[in-house]
Amino acid sequence: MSFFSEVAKTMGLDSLRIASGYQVINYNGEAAYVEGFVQVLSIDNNEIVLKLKKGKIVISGENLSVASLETGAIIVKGNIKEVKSER
Amino acid sequence: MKFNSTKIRIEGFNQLKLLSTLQKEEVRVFEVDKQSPRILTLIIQKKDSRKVLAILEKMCYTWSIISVFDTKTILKGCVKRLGLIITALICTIAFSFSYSFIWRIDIGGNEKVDELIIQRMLDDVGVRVGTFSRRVDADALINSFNALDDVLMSSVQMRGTTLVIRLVETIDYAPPDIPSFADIHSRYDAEITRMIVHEGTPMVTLGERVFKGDILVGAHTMDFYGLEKIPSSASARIYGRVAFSKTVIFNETSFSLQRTGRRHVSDEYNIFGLRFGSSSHDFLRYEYERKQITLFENFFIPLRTNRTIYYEVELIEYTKDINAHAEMLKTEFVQDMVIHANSSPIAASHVLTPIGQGIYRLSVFVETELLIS
Repeated sequence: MSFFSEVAKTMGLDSLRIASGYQVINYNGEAAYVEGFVQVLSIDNNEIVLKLKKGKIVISGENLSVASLETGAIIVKGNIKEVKSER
Repeated sequence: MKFNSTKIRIEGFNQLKLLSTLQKEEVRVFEVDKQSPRILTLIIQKKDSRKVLAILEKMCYTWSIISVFDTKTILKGCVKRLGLIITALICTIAFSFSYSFIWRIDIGGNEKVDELIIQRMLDDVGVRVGTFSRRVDADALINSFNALDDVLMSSVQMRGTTLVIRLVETIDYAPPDIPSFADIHSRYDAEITRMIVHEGTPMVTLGERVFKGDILVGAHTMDFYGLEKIPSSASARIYGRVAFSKTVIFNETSFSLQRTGRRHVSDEYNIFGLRFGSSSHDFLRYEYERKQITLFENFFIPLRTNRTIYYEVELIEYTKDINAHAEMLKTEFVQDMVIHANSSPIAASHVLTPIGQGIYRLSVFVETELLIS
């Protein structure tokens, strides 16, 4: 069972439904892990925008860089000030 | 894809290093799509193209420009499709132009008012197929339709290229049966067959022969002693056997028109009210069949064709079967009776008399039961 499914189960959420959406982990504002997005919409030093099935996730901060990029998963490093999802 | 942007396909490993380098050079990238560990597509602003391509060259990436979206590419696309654009433009203009005209007149709701009367009224104010739709003064037309005797109200409106005219006609109410305070007289010479008397005093009996004008029911009743008449209303339905006759004189020989086999086809085209293409024939006597085919209705080219086929005919003299002709005339007379007198005949007979030189006199006698009161 994946980490996110295990957490969802502990919280009594529908793990299948949760798995089909998006998940974000903010590591103390120094890095962020996001999975479940559709496409990277834009990348620059202060903002990285990810497209979701419905809406988008905006990671804003300073000196942002992409540490890892796989299909549907990204690790962003830098001084992360805000991770915001917009529907 | 954003305006003034370039989409690039990049092939090579360490894509993260490339993204990091682009960020350091303050190049904003859009729609990053990692298609495989070696292939990445992204979109950059056109102003950054030179810088990005230099970076790619320097980092030894294989790259190709997938598409460019700017004013130049839009113009190029337009030039490539110039024919299509011009055609679309012409079609749009022609379509909009044609919508300013009436291409069909739809008249409805008229049963008592003949359609020809409405068309004549439209003609009088210059409204016909092909007329500029703004020329239609709907209020004036409504007023003129409403002025017709049988019209209660009307509406006139343009729906697309169709002028829709709807009439609401007046309803005729039959006057109620008013009891007559006069005697009821016979309308025919007849033999009484049935009598239904509601009020009044019957003056005839079943089987009695009466003449036109005779009193059938008197507008009175008798007092208790049967001595004095008391005036009252008269109401009755009296039926009687009535005889009708008709005399016809006809000739033994007659003429009929027979097609010779020669024919001429004339196609006339009608577009925007203009007619052309019809051709004439040299037949002395002819019959014709006409058929209208609408190729485009409610479309911006209202093309119609009228096909007329002329058949040459000649007069053929023939001799009638006298008895069959007499029977036919008798049947026609009986059918006329059924329609006009609204009654079925009880008996029908005829007498055929030769006058001479192939001329005959036919007398038809029909007896029927009619309401004579």
